[in-house]
Amino acid sequence: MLRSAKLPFQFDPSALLSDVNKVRSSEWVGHFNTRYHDGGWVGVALRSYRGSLGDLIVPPQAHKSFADTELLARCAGVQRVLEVFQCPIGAVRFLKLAPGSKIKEHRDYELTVESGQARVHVPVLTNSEVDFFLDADRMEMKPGECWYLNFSLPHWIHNRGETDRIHLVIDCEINEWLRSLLPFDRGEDLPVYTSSPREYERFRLHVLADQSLQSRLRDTADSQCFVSLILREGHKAGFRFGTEDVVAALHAARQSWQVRWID
Amino acid sequence: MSKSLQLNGWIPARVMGRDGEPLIDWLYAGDHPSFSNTFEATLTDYLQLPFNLLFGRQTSVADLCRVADAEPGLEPSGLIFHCSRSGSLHLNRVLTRSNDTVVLYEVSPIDSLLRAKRFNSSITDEQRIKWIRSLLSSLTRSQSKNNRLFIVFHSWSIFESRIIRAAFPNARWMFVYGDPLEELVEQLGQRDAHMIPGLIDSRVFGLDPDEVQKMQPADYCARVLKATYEAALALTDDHGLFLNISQGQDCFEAISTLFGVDSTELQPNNDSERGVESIAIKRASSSIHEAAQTWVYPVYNAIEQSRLSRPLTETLCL
Repeated sequence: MLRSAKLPFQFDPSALLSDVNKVRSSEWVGHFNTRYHDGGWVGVALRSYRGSLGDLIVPPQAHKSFADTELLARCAGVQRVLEVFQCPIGAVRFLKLAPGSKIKEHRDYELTVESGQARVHVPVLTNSEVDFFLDADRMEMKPGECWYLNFSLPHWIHNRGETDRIHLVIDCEINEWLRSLLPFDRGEDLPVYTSSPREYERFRLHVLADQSLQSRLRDTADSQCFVSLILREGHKAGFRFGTEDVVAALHAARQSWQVRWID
Repeated sequence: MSKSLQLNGWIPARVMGRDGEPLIDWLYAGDHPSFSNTFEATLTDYLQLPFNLLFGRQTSVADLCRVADAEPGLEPSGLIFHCSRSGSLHLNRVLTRSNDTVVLYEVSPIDSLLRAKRFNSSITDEQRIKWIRSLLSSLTRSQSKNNRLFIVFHSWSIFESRIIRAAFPNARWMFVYGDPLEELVEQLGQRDAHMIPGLIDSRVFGLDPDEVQKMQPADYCARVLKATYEAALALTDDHGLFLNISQGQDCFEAISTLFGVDSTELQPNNDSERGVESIAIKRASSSIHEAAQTWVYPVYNAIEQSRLSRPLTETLCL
């Protein structure tokens, strides 16, 4: 499974930013998926399912019926970016996350190259305090860069900075051209180690002493992803324990918390 | 406290005893912990995060005190004792309607600390006072300082009211109760911990553990209830009041008079919630009637007399 890949393009962020400035403030609309965010996630469509610039919803498998919105005609920078893409293009949107806002952890299962789709991000405006986590990894994406991320992995974003974070988000259909740009052979697979409760306990103490590692582990609510996250972080730090050590520790902790107070 | 022990964003969630010393388990709750309608539900929420299961912290009670001293939280405005499950939940619902109140409902680590003498008789009153102050303080240290804090205790905490009042001498108290028969029927239908012999040491209620073995369920529950009313009757000072939830007494008026919360903020949008409906009495068997008459009604009547002899506005030294 390909987790993420930086595509070999560098776009001009200032041209894209000047496009963003052409969006009227009344044209930004709240992202439809209100379960996932706290109100600070807004967007505007340059290409959408119905061709309307307030339509942020992307219905699955609807590429044929996408149409440019009136905004795209105003945005020369975006037009130049889209010319580069030699593949069918679906929705194209600017998505903006206000300072202090958070998009909660979620997964978008259909958006993977394996299922024929790729959602590509081009950061336009960002700051060093944006936490963009794809599973265990804090993604560092700079303005003008072009990234494929596997959004079927749990991901969440928190703009802890004081400026907006705006990305140009392009939905692509996979074809031979796009496939040739993606490094499939570099898909990361976890090494498999056998169980070692002692190694796991050493790792646990390692986590307790490392604040920044803790902050990377805190926000994952999905148990399954959490286990693979722990394995990856553990192995990265040189601790050789297995899946069953983590599962056993979770089980023991759930048992222990059955007792909520002494009597 | 070791320098590496950073507890920003952590809340004290559980007290466990080891070798006679209380140990505090902490859960990560982030910069703005939010409390559900019961503390139990709050714990369940935060335990949804696998991180808390694997990397929860445990510290000494001394560390708890250091955290509280370094960053004090809210001082409670109201202490709510009760012997009525539905009554206390009702009051909890009402109080949380106000935007600037924080209500902590049946905080199990406070109960554990209050009863810590059970596993170490050398624990002093001063220690328990300091500990429960520190626990509440660190639980609420990230709350806005403008918020008013109300604590709804477990019903058996009334037996520790002396310690609680000493810990929070400026807080007003309230004892929420209802008709004994209703409460007995409700408890015998689904019992809280104190109504199950052996879960809470029966000596708390002044009952001999050997004798308890031989008691009928209705008698045991009635005698626990009797002891609870008796402990409430000992609260005689002017800093609080008795609230009989099943007599249609206006709880909005009582709350606003006692705690100074604007009563218009507390009113529900409809009238369905004025007091607790009496549906239980019809289900009471003769043994429950008998247990209630024998054990509970005499002391209940004494509380009622005390309540009725002092109209609300005269009850308090305001």
